[in-house]
Amino acid sequence: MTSCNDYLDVKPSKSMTVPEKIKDLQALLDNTTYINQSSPISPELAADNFLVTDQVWNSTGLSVRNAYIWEKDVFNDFFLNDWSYPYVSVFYANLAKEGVEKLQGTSASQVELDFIKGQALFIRAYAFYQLAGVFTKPYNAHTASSDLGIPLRLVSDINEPTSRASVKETYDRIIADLKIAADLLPDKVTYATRASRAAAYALLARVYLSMAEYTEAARYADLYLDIKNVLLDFNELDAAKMVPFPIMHEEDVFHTCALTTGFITPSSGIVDPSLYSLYTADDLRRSLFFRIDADNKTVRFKGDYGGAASPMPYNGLATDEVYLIKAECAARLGEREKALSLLNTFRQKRYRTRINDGLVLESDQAVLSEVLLERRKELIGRGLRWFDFRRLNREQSTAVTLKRAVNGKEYVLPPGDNRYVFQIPLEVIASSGIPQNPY
Amino acid sequence: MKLKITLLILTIHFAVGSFGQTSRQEVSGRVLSITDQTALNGATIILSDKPTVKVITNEKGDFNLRDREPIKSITVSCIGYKTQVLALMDTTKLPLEIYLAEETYEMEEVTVSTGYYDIPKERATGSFEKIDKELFNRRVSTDVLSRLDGVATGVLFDKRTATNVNIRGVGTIYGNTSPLIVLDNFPYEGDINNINPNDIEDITILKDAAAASIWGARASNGVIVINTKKAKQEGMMKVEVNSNVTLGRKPDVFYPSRISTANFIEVERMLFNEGFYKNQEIAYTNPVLSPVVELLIQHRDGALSSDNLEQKINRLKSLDVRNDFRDHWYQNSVNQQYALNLKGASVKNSYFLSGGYDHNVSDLESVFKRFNFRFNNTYRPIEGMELTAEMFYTRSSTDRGRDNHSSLNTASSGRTIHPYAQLMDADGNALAVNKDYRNSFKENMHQQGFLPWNYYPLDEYNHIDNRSFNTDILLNGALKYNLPLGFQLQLNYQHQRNHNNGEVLYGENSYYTRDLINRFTQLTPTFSTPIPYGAILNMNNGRNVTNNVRSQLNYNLSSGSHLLTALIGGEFRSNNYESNSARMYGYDPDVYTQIAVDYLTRFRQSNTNYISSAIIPQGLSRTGGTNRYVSYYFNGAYTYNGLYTFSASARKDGSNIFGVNTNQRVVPLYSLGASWLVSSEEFFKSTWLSLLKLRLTYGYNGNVDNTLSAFTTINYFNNANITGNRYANVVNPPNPSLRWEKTKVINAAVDFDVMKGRIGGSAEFYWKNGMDLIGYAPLDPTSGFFANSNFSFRGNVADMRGNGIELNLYSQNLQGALNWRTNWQLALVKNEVTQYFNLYVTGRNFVSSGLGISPLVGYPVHAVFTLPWAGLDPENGDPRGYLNGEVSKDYTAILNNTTIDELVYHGPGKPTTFGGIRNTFSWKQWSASFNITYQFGHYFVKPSLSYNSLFNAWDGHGEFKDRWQKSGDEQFTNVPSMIYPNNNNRDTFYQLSAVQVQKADHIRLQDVTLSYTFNGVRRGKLPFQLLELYAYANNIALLWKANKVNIDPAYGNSIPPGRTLAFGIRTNF
Repeated sequence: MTSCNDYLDVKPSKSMTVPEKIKDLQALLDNTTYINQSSPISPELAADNFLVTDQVWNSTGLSVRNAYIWEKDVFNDFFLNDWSYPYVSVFYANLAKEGVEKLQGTSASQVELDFIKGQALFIRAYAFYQLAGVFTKPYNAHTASSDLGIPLRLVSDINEPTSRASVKETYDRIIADLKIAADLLPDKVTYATRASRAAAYALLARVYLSMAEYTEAARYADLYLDIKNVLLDFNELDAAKMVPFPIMHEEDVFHTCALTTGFITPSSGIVDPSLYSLYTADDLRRSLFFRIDADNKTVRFKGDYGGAASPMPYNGLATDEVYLIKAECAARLGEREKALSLLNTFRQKRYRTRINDGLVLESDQAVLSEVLLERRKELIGRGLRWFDFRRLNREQSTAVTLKRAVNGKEYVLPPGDNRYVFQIPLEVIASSGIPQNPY
Repeated sequence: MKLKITLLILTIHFAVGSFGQTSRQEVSGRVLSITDQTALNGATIILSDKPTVKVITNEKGDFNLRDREPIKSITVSCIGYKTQVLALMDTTKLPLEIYLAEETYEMEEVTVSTGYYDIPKERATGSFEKIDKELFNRRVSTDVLSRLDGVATGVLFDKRTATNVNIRGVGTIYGNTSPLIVLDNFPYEGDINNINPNDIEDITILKDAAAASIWGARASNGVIVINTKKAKQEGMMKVEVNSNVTLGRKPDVFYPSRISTANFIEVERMLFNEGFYKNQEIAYTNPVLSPVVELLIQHRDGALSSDNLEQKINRLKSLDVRNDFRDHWYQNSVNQQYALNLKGASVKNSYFLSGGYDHNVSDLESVFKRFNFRFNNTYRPIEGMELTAEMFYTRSSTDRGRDNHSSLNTASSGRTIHPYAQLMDADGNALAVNKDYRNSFKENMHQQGFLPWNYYPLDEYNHIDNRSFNTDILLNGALKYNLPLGFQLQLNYQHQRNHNNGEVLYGENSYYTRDLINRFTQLTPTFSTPIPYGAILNMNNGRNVTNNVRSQLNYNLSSGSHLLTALIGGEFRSNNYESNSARMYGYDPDVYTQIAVDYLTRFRQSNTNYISSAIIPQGLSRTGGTNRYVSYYFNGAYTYNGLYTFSASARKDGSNIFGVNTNQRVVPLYSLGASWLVSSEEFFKSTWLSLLKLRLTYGYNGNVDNTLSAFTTINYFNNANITGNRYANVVNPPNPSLRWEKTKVINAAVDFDVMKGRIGGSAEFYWKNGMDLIGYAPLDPTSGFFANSNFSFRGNVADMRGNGIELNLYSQNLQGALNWRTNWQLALVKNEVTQYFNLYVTGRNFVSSGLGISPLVGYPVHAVFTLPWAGLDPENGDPRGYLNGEVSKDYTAILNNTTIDELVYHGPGKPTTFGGIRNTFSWKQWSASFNITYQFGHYFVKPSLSYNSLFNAWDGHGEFKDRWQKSGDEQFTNVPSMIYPNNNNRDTFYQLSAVQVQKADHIRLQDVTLSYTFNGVRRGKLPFQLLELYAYANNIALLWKANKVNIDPAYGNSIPPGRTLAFGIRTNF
C-alpha cells in the first residue's frame, strides 16, 4: 500500500497548495484586495469633507445614502462591507501567524518568520483599529472596560464563537500586538502595501492619539520620524495633473484604501465650499487637492494621497499624519517651541516657498489651533476626519455639531450622539447573537 | 440475437440430435417474405454448425447450398427479417420454401454493459436501462447525449442550467451532479461532443447500487455506458453509410419580454428631469449616455430646438433593436453529417473501420467541423486468446461567429444595448452604437490623434477571428486469455490524449483593439501609444492526458443448474492536465510579428481623464494538475436453475483528494442484489403472463470532489491590485473531518410481459439516502472566511433522502400490415434534505427560484421559497410584504429579518413527474413516430421588472406597461409603481416575493420521425441491401403549459431553440 499512497500523494492542482512555506504566507499577506483595499468607507461618508447633491444622493445605493445622513440601515446590502471586509484581513493575518508558529523550530529562517509574524500582527491590529473606530464608542479611559468593543478574533478557526470584547480589551490588544510587531518588523520595506516597523510606530501614534494619551503618541511619532521623516515637497508637484500624487510615494508608509462608493471616488467628490475656503492662495494644496468644474463653482477633490492607485480612496498611514500627530502632542504637552518648529517644517513643504517664512505664535492654545487647522486641511478624504470628531468632541472647545440637508430635509448630529457608533450588520447579529449598538 | 430464436435453435438441435438423420449434402430452395410472398434477394443461408459455408439468394430468392458432409440444419437470415433456423431430415421436401417474417418487436435478449462486464439483462439484479441502436438513432444530432433526452426513463435534461443531466434526481447538494460517462471500458475524460454518434452501438444507463457500484466513488450520480460498434464475428465485409442535413430556425429574439421603446424613452425623460444623469455627465470616467439622453442634454444646453428634439425622439420611438437582431444578426442554421463504416471478419481477425464528418453552421454563423476516425481490430491468434486494438481520432474546429445578442453590452457594468439602437442603415452599412464612453468624449479624443472609438456591433465579428481546435486521440488495447477451469484473464490499457488550442485574433480594426489602445494612449509628456497599433492575438493551449491500466480475472462456471460468474480486478488511473495562454500586441497576422510592450509601468487611463491607472494586460498563464485514482473491485453473480440470481459487488477507491488522511482517502463501497424469475417456475403456469421477474438490490455508491481539502488550501494568482505581485487566496478553511459523499440505494423492481410482447415493461421503486454530502454552510461574516463571493464554508454538512418510481412500459397496439407501438416512460422523483448544518436564521438566504439550491431540512434540495406578498399599497403602488406578521414596507428589514418559518414554500423547483410517450407506426416500408414529453409538479420564478436595472442597465421587463399608476390599479396588477429615487431593496423584495411564482408543468411535442425503407434485396437489381430515407423534426411545439405568462418552463429565461428539420439517408451494402 505504501507505493500506492505515494501514487496518491500528488497534489491535484498546481496552483493550489497548503500554506506551509514562508512564500505561501507572504503571498497571503500580499493579497492586496483583502489586506489593503478593505478599509471602512463609512467614516468618510459620515464626516464633513464631501458634499452630496440631492441628485447624486438619490442616484446612489442604500448604505451609502444612509451613512451620509447617519441613518440606521447600513451595511445590509452587500456581503463585503465595513464590518466583514476588515475581518477578512484578520482571517488572513491569523492564518499567516499560525503558519509562522508551525514553522518555528524548523529550518525556516528566523528573520523571515519574524517578518511574516510582524506583518500579521500589524495587519490584524490595523483592521481591529478601523473596526473599533466605526463600531465602538470612542475610547474613554473611565468607561473603556465596560463599553462594548469588537469581537477580537485571534485564531483562524472559523468555528470560533463570536463575542464582543470591551473597548479596553480591544485597544489593549491592538497596542500589545503593534508593540510586538514593531520589534519583529524591519524599519522599511519594498512595497508600501506591506507592514514595516515605521508603519507600526505610525499606527501606535495614531491609536494613542485617539486614546488621548499624548505622551505615548508623541513617543511613537518620534520613533517613526527617526526612521522616516521626509515630507513630499508640494512645491515640486504638478498641479496641472489630474492626479498630482505619485503611487506609493515616499510618505506612504502603509498603503490602504477604503471600499469604493458611489460618490467619493479618488477624484470626483464634491468638496464643502467652507472647507475649500480654508486654503489661502499661497497654500499649494489649494490647487493640488482640488479642481473647479467648468461651472466655476463646484469644487472637486482630486488629491488622493495614494495617487489613485485604485478606484478607491486612500486612507493609509503616511508621514504627514505622523508629523501632525507629533506637533499636536507637543502642543498639548506644553512643548510650544517643539510644536511650532515641527509645524513650520511641515508648512515649508505645503506652502509656496517665497512667502513661507515661518509662523510665530505666542500661546499653546494658538499653536494647537494651528496644528488642528493644518490637520483639517492636510488629511482630506483619508477617513481620519470622523475619528477626529470622535476624539475632539470630548472637549467642549473642539466639539462640533454636524449638519446635512438632503432633499430639503435637515439632519443634525450633535457631539456624543449614539450615531457616532455605526450599527453592526443585521446578518452578523442574526448569526452570532452579539449585542447590537444602541441607536 | 433474439431470445425466441435462441430457444428455437436449441430446440431444433435437440430435435436433430434425437431423431433426425440426414444424408443430404445439397439443399436448394427459395426465400420469400411472409407478408407479401415476394422473393428475397440477398438473403444469407449458412450451415448452422459451420458458418463459413454459405450462399446468397438470387433475385428470384433461389439458392443452392452444398457441403461435403450431410446437412443437418441451415440458418436463413436477411436484413429486416427474422432469422430462421431449419432442421433438415431426409423426409424434408425439396426445394424448400422458406418464408421469413419481417422483424417486429420482440422481447429481445438484451445484454447490458457496465464497462467492466456484460450481462444478459435476464440475469441482472440491478437497474439497467438500455437504449438500443434503433432508439438511439431515432434522433438526428451531432452529439451523443441529447439522444437520451425524452427516451431514457428517469433521466432529466434540465435546459435551464449548465450541468443539466440528472439520473433519478439529484443525489448530492453542492457536490458534482454529473453522471459518469463511460466509453466502452473506461471513463471518458474528453469532451463528450467529440464522440461521433454514428459510432455508437447502444447505451446502457446504470441506475442503482447493484448496477453502478462497480464504479464506486464515481457512481452516485449514475453511470452512462456508451458502447461503440464493433466488428462482428461472422460474415463478409459490410458497408454502412449515413448522411443527413438538419435545418434549424433562428431563435425568437422577441421571446423574452422587454420594455417597449416608447416606454423606455418615457423613463429616460423622467430620469433626465430628475437629474439622474447629472452625476454621469460630470463623472471622470465619461460613462456612456444613450442617444435620447444626449438629445435631451443638447436641448437643455440650447443646441437643439424643442421641435427638433421631439421630431428626433419620435423617430427613435419607432425603432426596436430586436428587429435588427432578427433580420441581421441571426440566420437559419444548417448542420450536415456524413458517416461511413466498414466491418468484416475472417476466422482469426475481425475489424471495424469508420469515418465521420460533421459540418455545422450555427444561427450565429459559427462554423463547427468535426472529423472522426475509428479503427477497431480483434485478433484471435490461438484458441482462447483475443487481442483487441482500437484507435479513435477526433479533430474538430470551431470558428466562432457572432456573440449571442443578449450578451452584447454597452458598458462594462453589464449594461445592455438600448432598445432603439439601429444596427444597420437602409443601404446595409453597419451603424455605430453608443458604448462605454460618451460620443463627445470619443470625438474629442479622436481629434487629438486617438483611433476612432466607434463601436459597430454588426461589423465587430468580421474583425475578430476566434478559432479553436481540438484533437483527441484514444488508444485502447485489450487482451483476453482463457485459462483452465473457467478462468479468464483480462488486461486493458487505455491512453487518451486531448489537445485543444485556440486563438482569438482581435484585428486592428476591431473595437476591442481600438478601445484598448486608446485607453492606454498617453498625451503627456508626448503623444504615445504604450499598446502598439496592430492586432492583438490571444493564444491558449491545453493538454489533457489520461492513462488507465486494468487487470481483471473473470471466472465462469456453468454446471447443471448452477451458473456462477465472478470477476476481481484492480486499476490505476491518472489524469494529468496542463494549459497555458499568451498574448501578443502589435501583431501582424500576415508575417507573424509582434511588438514588445511595457508590462511594468502603470499607465494612467485616458478614458478616466488620466486618473485611474492600469498595467497592460499580460495574458500569460499556466495551470496544471493531476488526478489519480487506485481502485480494487469485485463482482459476482450466482444463478440457480435460471430462476434465482444473487449478486454482490464491492469496490475500494483511493484518490489523491488533497490533504486528507490516508485512511480517509480510500472509501469502500458495496452492493448486494437478488432476482427471481417467477415466470420460469414450475408452478407458474400462466398463459398470458409471459414474463414476471422480481428484483431487489441494496448498496452504496460514492461521489468524489477533488477540489476540497482537509487542510487550509490556498490558490496562487498573478497581478495583485496596486503592486502587481503574485498573491494567494484562501480556498478552503481547514477541515480535518472531510469525507467522500456516499449514497445508499435500495431498488425494488418488477419486469413483466403480457401475451408475448403485447404489453410489458418494468416498474422500479427506489430509495436513496445521501450521506456526508458536500454543501455550503453559511458563516458569520466575522469569521472572515470569504470565498466564492460568500461567507460560507464547504464541507460534509448535509444528508438527504430521495425516492421514486420509474415506469417503462410498452404496448403493441396493432400488429399486422399496420403496426402501432407505444412506449411510455414515467418517472416520479422526490427528495428532501434531512440534515443541514446551518448557522443562519435569516429567511432571505433560503429564498430561491428552485434552480439554485436552498437546503432546508424537510424540503426538496431544489425548492422554491419566496417572501410573503401583501399586495401593492393602494396609496402609491409600493410593494408590500410582512414583517413580524404585519404588513410592512420596510424592505431592508423584510429582507434581513424575515425568518425561515415566515417564507412561502411553493414546491419543488425540479419536475417531480416527467417522462415521454412515444408512438411508432409502421406500414409497409413506411415508419413514423412521435414523442410527447411532459414535466409536472415543479415551480419557477418568472422574470420581473427591476427599476434598478431599468435605470442603470437599460434593461426592463415588458411588465413595465402594467405597473401601478393610480389608485385602483392594485386590483389588476402586482407590478410596483415607478418611484424616484429608486430603492434597490424595494426592487429586490418584489423580485423575491411570492407573486413571481408560476407552475412549471408542461407538455410538449418534442419530435417526429418519418422514414421509408427500400429493401434492395427484395427489389432485386438495386446495388444495396437496405436504403432508408428519413426525416426528423425536433423542438416542434409546446402543447400545453400551466403558466399564463408566456414562458416555456423548460427553458426558463433563455430563448427556446428554434425548430429543426432533418433529412437523411442511411444505406447498407
